[in-house]
Amino acid sequence: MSVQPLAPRLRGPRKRARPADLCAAEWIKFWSLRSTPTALVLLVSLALYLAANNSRHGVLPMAGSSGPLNPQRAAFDGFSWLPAMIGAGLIGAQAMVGEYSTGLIRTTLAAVPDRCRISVAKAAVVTAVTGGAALVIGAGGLALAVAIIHAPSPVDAHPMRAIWSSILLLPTCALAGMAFGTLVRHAAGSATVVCALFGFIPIMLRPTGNRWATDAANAMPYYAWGRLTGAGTGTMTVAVAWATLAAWAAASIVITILALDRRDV
Amino acid sequence: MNTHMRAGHVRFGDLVAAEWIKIRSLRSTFGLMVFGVLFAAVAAWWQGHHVRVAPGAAAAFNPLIYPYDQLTWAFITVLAATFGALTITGEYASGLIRTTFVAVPARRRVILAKSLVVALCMAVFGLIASLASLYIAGYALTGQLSGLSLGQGAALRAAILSAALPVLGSQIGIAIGALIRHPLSAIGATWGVLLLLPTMLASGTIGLGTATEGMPLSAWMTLARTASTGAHQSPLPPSTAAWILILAWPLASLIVTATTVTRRDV
Repeated sequence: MSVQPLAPRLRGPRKRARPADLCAAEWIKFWSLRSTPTALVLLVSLALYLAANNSRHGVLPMAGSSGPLNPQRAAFDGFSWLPAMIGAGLIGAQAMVGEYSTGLIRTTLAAVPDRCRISVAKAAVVTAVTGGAALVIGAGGLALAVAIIHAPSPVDAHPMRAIWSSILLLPTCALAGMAFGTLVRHAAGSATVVCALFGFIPIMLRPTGNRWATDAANAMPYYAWGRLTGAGTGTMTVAVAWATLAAWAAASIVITILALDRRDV
Repeated sequence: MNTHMRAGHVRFGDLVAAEWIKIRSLRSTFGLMVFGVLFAAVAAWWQGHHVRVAPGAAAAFNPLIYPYDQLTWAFITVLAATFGALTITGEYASGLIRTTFVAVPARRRVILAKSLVVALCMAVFGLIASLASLYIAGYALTGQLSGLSLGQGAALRAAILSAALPVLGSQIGIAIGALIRHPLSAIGATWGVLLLLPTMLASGTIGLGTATEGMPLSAWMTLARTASTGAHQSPLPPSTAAWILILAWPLASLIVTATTVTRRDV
């Protein structure tokens, strides 16, 4: 008699979690790590500081851009965005690796056996957060640069393209970090890969060397994005630059989905 | 008779052995080291391979910048620092640190043993990478530049200092790992401090050009005479300051690690 009330629910049609439920769950996981908001605040403030500083003192010679300093060059200086890129990649990796290091992944996969949906929900949360950060850094940095550089130095063409490509760049880094995290499953290992790929390779490879180095550098998100902002040194066409960024993001999601789906845990 | 252990301290040798087992049992350590050596070897060949020296102009070139390229060795140093950070954050991540500190309540001795084992590993790694770089670049530059063998004083000095660079990096990594304790953040911070910060400081963007002189890699460039003569030369410390710096970085790191670890609960 007393167990009766439960029975109808158990016998009823199986309920599938809605995508919004999965996103909400991933959202909670994402923010429940204390260091996530700290890291985001640090990254955004460092990037805004660098944008303001570039506007005052000029950009790095190694960024490759020459000519008079204008707000767009100052706000989208490639080197100043490297910490944000690495940070986004690490946040993406943490979203995946954190589950493996605590063992939460087993519960997650038991609760939602359709793993593809988990990957998509996680990717959606990570994309939304890093995209928001990119919007703040890009638009805020440009506004700061315009305010600081009073001289009649016109903004390069396509300031909106620069902001949109940045909104694509950071989520791309985060999704790539997520893919590495899924493949490696080990915090230190995936962090090393993210740092090497987004921090070291842009410094090491330039699209000004020989054919091989140029092609390899142009395939990196850093240079594709640099081509779109007009402040970097990528040497491809605009369409190819968009395609490169999109391909990185798409490939990362596909790798995450496949890797998670094909393994036991 | 043997059922109860000797009272009193564990010998230092036992601690070293324990730390060595911990490092050895981590599979990825070996992969990281092999990758580092391969990277150094390929980079040295790449650097040497692309040099074309006009006949008679060899005296104007400093041959040491090819095996001991600044960027390559910055990367090697960061890899070593990653390794150092891994050895300590790994313990925090797995929870092994609690067992370690319960077993050996004298935490400073644990840290000392760990630092020593990591330093020895990195010395071996640095030595292999350094010698491989020297001889591979020497081979790639055959007939163009000479002076790339251990028989030459300058090359010997550069080889030894370059072998010491990963040791120094690993101690910095341990300190950052002890401070942050979370593997991902610690490694992010390590790369930021050792790779991005010096470049940013050197740029003049931040307006702290003199602070670059204090970075470990600048001291190494002064002492090993491996500074490139490119357009974007970063400021270097004078020789005496460089010696002090290259000793002060690992010592300060060790002190930071020991202090942090003893001041906290776990």
